[in-house]
Amino acid sequence: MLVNIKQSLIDGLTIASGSKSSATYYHSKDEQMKAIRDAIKAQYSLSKELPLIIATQKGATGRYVSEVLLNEFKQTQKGGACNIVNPIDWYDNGLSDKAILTALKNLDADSGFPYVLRLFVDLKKEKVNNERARKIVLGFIWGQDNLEFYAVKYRNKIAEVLKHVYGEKKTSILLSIAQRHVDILGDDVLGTEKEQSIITESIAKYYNGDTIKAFKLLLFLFRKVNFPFDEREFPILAEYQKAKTDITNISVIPEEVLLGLISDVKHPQYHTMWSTELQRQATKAMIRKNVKVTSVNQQVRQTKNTAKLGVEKQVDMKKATDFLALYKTGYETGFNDEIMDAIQALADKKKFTNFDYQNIGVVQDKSASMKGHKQESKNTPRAIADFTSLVLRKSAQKSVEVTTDGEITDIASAFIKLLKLERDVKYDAIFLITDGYENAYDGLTNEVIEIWRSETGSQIPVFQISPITGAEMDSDVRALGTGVVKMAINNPIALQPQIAGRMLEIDTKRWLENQVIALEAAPVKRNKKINVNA
Amino acid sequence: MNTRDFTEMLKGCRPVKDSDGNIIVQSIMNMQIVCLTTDKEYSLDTRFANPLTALKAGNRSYGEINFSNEANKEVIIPTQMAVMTKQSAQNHGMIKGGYLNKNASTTYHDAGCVQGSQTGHFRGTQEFRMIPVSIREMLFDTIGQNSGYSRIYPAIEKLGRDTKSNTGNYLDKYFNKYDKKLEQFIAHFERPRDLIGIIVLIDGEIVAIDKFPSFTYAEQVWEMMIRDCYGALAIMSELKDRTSNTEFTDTYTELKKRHQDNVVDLLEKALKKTKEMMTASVQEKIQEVLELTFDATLDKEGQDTSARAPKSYLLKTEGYVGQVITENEFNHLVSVVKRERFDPETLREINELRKMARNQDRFSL
Repeated sequence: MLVNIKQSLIDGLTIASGSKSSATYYHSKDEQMKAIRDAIKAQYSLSKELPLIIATQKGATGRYVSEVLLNEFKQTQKGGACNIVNPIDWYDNGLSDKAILTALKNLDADSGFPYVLRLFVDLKKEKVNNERARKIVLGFIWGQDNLEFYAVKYRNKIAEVLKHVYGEKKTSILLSIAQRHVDILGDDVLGTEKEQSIITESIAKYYNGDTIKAFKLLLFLFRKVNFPFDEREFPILAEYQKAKTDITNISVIPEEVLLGLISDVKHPQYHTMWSTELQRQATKAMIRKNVKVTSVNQQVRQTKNTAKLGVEKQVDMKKATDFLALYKTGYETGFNDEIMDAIQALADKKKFTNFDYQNIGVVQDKSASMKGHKQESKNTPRAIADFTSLVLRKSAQKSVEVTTDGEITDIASAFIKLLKLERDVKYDAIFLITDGYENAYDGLTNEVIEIWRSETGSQIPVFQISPITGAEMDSDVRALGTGVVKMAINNPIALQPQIAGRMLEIDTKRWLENQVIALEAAPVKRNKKINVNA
Repeated sequence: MNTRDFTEMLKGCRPVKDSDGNIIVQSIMNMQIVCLTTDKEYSLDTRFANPLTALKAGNRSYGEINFSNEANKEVIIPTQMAVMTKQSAQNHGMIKGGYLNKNASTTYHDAGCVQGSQTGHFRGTQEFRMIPVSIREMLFDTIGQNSGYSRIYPAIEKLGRDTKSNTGNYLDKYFNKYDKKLEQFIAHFERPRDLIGIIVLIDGEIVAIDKFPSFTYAEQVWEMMIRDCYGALAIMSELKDRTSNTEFTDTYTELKKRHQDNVVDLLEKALKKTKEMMTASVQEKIQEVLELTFDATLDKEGQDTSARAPKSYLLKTEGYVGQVITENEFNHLVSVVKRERFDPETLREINELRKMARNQDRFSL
């Protein structure tokens, strides 16, 4: 069993770190999704905990984590058998809960709030509404520090999710109670005992604030507001109400929400600010200039469009945390000093501490296929490859980088060039950053590596890092050959856990124990809830 | 009927080479492709529209396809394009390429059904695919024949046998079976900048040559040519259990016997030599084909016959068959395939004799 689990873990780390739901240069979205689902299904068949353990690893993609969580919510605690952790620890001592909450926390931190919402909407589509799922969803939504802002930005989605977990009837009851309290009773007046029980179970135990405030948010989400929001209590919602009649001088409402308001023919300013192309351009420019709540990453992504609108807006690139935004902007508008500095600064932040390898060689595939799919992921693999190479080089004391020449994927020539550049100190690891589709000829790199190994006796690891997983490889990486250790990444952050994961080839049991210990120590809990078991 | 030399057909084109002057040969299994490029002035990007966006297809009876050119530019219809539609209609295929003036339309009555007993006609569709290269020869051979709407069926049946895809008379069955594999196949090949043509080799022998009207045209049809058209050859190779090269290992082993260099230097030498050998082999094969002379027959069915319009010719010679769309000796589209039964060794013997004949002195006393 341990042998099977080991192989599944190694494959699972690769799939989880590289699998995307979007189309790649080679595969459609549906193919990618099917491959992810098949892989997760195979992991479940080995052990109930396996997909969750993998999903809690740093660098697991949003799509993979979402799929695993959806399965967990769907199957409740009873599905599958535990072969890694004692079932008593997994279920009764709350390890599974901690694993779910850790994965959810990572999903929120790495992929963002909308990704979590998408998962919750999937619960509705899949008709999942068991007690555990319900409590985790409510804890997550009502526990958001920034709920007022999210309520404006993702109003419909949040309402859809809440309506699903509460159910039609309870939603209606809650809205009725909220309306009555806001309109008549106020915060100090208690309702009936039954009402109190519903409020506690549905909102109060999850929300860190006055219940009356929660009621007002609830009424806003469900479009039942017949009162003005106080600027001091709800600065964002108050401005939203103002924007419904006048969108000038609005600064804390997201751009897309303002565009939604003004593009409605019923908006009082529609005919003066939106009915012609000229008006639309001017209004967009005004909104772009005024809004202050756009994230730095989004502002970086908007660079080209902002210039097109004729707006001069200072963006502090160095505050950007999304390397994809920086690189894609660079590919589109050119890499000026500001972008380059921001990329360097971000790579400094992301570099690996105590990296296992301190003198590394890096080969980077610069062929056309690394540019990605035209529509959905243009330049994404290329950006991942460029940034990964940079992070790797910053993480090691010494490094040499060679890129492929010309327009074909000739990794073999670049590999030999790298070997020629090896100085007195021998490389302790070589990284080949490529999609694995070589064409001069298929299998050539592996031949070169095998001969080099047999002739020199070198045992140093040669890692193939691919920013693309192939659906035809069941969401795995297309390997250059048997002489390389393949890894998939969508972010350099995924690299170190995978390299560390190689340890599990040596001592799988120890690796698994470490994961369980980490889970036990994870500082996560359902909001305001002491007992983690549903 | 007149004759056309192959050297004339590909004039202005040259193989894409690397910085060492080696022809870049892209390989997978026993299949190789060599990309051709040309000088910018010979790429007629401003004159010709891209076919996949400019053309719309429809028909009113079986065995014909009507193309309308929606662009304000002329368009060359790629060789043997198929309409594979989701409409409730019989899919159709062309047996050749064609030319259409700007905003014009024409009907090819020598097209054929490719979907067995499916009924119905399609309208205004751009759902195009390319017919696999392995049956090109059979389709070219039906040009000028009065074989009706079922003219493509025998070729599809052959494709089904060759690719074990149980097609019957349904081309879509082949694509349904192999689409995923063919998508992966595309990933192996890189389209170089300024592509104007492609030479395809199987087991080191040239089996297909295509030359397109412009760089943008080649860019647009590249994926479809690799996936739909040439991909069939790779599938057939795989079914025949053909394996990849190990040329590098062989070359290294050979070099090691004669050199005392350090490992990395020897690896570099072996790789350089491997590439040189691949280049030399391809160069030799291209040279052989260049000796060909084709009989050219004017093809009028569906083609624009006005005096100034480009003309379509069916090309035939020992071992090869194809089509050229030409205008005042400028070749816009060339498409040639090797006949399956043809052994290029025969061509070598013929060329050898020709060469000897050229070297002989004229008879004199």
